[in-house]
Amino acid sequence: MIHYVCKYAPAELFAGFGQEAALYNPMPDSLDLADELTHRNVCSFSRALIEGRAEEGGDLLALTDCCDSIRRAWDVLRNLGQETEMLSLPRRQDECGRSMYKVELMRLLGKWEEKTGKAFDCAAFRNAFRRTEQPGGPYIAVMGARMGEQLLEEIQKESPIPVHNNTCTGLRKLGLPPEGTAEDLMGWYAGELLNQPACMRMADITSRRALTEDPNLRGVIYNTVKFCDFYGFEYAALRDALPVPLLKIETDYTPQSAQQLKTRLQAFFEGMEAPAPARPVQVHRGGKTYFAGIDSGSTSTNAVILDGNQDIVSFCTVSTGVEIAESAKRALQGALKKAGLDRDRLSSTVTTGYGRAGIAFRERDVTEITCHARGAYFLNPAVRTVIDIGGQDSKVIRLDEKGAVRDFVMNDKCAAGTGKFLEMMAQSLGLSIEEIGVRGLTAREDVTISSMCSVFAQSEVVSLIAAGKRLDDIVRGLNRSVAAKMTALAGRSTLEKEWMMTGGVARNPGVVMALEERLGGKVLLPEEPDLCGALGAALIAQEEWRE
Amino acid sequence: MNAVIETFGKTVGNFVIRSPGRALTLLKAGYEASGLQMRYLPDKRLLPHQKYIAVMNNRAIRLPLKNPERSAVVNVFLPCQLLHAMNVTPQFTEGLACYLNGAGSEQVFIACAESAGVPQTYCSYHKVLLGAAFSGVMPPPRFVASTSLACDANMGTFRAIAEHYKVPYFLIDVPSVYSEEAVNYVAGQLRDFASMLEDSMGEKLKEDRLRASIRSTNRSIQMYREYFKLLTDKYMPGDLTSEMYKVFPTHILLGTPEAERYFRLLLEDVKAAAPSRGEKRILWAHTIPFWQDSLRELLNFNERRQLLACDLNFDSMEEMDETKPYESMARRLLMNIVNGAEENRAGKLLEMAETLRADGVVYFNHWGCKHTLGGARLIREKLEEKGIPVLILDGDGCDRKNVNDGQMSTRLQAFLEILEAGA
Repeated sequence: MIHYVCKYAPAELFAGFGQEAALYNPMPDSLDLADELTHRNVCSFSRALIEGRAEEGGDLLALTDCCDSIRRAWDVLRNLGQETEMLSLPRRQDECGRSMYKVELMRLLGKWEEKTGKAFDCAAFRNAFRRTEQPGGPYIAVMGARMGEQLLEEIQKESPIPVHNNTCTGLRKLGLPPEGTAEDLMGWYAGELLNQPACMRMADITSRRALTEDPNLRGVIYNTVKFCDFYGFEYAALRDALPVPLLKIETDYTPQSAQQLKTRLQAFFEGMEAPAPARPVQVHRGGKTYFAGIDSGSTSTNAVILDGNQDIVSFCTVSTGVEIAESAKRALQGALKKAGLDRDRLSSTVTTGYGRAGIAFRERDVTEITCHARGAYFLNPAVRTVIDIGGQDSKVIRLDEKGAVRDFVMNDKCAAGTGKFLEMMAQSLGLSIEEIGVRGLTAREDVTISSMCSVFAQSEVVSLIAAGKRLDDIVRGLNRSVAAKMTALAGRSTLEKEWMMTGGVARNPGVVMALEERLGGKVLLPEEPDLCGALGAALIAQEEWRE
Repeated sequence: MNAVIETFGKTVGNFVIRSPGRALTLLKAGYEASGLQMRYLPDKRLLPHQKYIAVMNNRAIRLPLKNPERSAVVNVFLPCQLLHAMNVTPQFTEGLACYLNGAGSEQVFIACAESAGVPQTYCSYHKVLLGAAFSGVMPPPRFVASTSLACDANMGTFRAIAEHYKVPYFLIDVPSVYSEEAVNYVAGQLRDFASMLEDSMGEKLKEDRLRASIRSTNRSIQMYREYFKLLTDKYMPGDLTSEMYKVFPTHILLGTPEAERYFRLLLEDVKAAAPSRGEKRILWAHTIPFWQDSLRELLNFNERRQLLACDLNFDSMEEMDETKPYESMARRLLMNIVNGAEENRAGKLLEMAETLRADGVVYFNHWGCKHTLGGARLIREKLEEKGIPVLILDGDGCDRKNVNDGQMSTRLQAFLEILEAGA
């Protein structure tokens, strides 16, 4: 089977020689082999391509010189002795570009005639084209860079409405060929290929506007591939202008980040389905009923119990450990005991957090995005931005005036800007978590910790100690780097007042101060900032409960 | 970084968001002062050509900031003979980014670009340029022009800058494979670019000035070739900054009398240089983190070590034909060593390593440059096959905060120690 990876590749040309070409879109378990053959910091798809082809082999790989990473993947695969064909793909879609591409197509056609000993069969080429039409009606679009099959299937599974694949390779749209000689056909084909909805490496990208102006579009999942930078620019523009919900995800073309992505996808669809009801909601008067919310996080598990009037009756925090279900049970029992309640007084339990699906005794599980938003809005309906810094991930959630999630961003597979980062730095400085929280408050000199990477930052801290810098100053530098990471995550301009900080790191006064400096105003702090997720879950349990 | 620059950088950084105009005024004053210092109180260790290039480049950076209405933002590979013929000064990515780094202020521009949504994984030279534009510190140019050669960032950066300033943008698409059709394709675009230039400036392109610029280009290239021939048996003291500076006369200033004068001085200095005396001779691939103190200590003005050349400074040694200016420019682009298959770059590095009797090659993996990163292993393989040791050095040419300095200097020093032990 002939493989191609770019929508501008002449896949149908091979039909003129009785051969079939298919889109190659591997999602290997790891990229170890590719890392040996190239560099970790090139586009993840090009590494997946190297990994997949190096493992599985295959017939001809028909490439276009679409980007730096693919050109280098071509070098690597050629050097492995693989059969490859590289087409020089013009960036200009005008007449000059078309003529240039026609020359390339004719060159390939001639080469193939020679190789196969067959003449190009115009009729067979024409038969390779099919009229394709997307079904009408409301849909969610996946846009941006190419996406692995598994992830696309996952999105289709989670989405309540049809999903259109409008990623760079998903948008392959060609018309039906006219009659004519091989040369006429290649002239037509060059134009047809170049005039598809443009990818971001092309000179003229105005055709992309139609993708976001469709009245049937209900939401966009915007995909970027790690170390592919083309689509970051379009995302940045859409972030401020798109009238429908937008979710950005980044993949490294392996299934490794699937769990984290799953949380984001679910939260995104939850937000689209049910806007948060404004307070007060239906309150179950009469016979006393109780509701529990359990937030199973990476470091601690929190349980909150509410009564039917949405008053907090009790709460309990335990450390998560390895047994997710067991610690959830312990947290719940702790909270029940404090409230003097039996388990059967609970009408409904909603779980959230990483371990949410592993807790069997739940009525329903909801992502921590929705729960934090609900909890924060309950505590103060003026909140428009929730900044949640937890143990292993951090998020910025934007709310509308009704408390519904407008959008959110999360850190990627990286500890920078999380509790873990501060924990590692405290270790390097020989401080406890409590100490690192207050030491920065008495800083005198500006010390900048510039590395966003925890590993680099650790060595930076070590050299600052060696340079005789005061611990207090270093700690403030660290706090500021966390604040900078959080504001950069969402884009400072999009962080609308009032801000509320939740998660365990909200107990760190130094980080709170650094964040306030950066935002230029006071940040709201709940009394129990790490309970916000569990509170949100309990509220959802209460609001959704029907006798 | 010395304390004066650090304070200066911080002051600029403080102004960038609050008052970009003041940040620009401060930067211009700073460059003016450092230009005067280079002219009247240069580092005594520098040779005449090195003293001259510091002053020449300083002026090349200041002019577009001073007279933006006669400037264009371009990429390093854009054939600037057309601009010189029209008296338009080019401001290019790596140049401005390095100068902002030199002013200790790249961080604020990187942060500005990233908070506008530019990916963190993007080339840091480009991030700095985008930050300079988005923050409003870089004044609006008359137009923006770039080639697509070698670097994906060209497609994102220049379009974004032109949109930001609402000025015309011209892209010259360079196919990755050389052919006569490709030459015609690129030459056609360069002709269109010349018309756009005329429209933008409201002036006619003077053919005689273009020819003069092409003749100057050829004289420069001839002297440069002669220099390399002589360098084979010579030792010339130097520093990382002077080698990085060379990107100006070998690219955007090529075809100007200033660049020509530089090559004349370079040739005179190599003629006067002492014979080679067993120093370790290093060839450098890709850009140079000239500001990194630990690396400067290892290579600057070191009698035991000679930095021979950076490959970006011999990426295109083709002469031009003044009767076919557009085709000549197209050929130089298409035949550039960073165009097409990586074997082209490997081949040129090999040829120059042999010509200059290099003992080793440092291949600098600049963060965000997928072109260079992706080819690292292959180039090392090709050079080592021929017995030339290669150090792949991961770093960042422009972002001080994105490097692990200790690890880099250890690796470079160990590589030099290995070469020295082998002698």
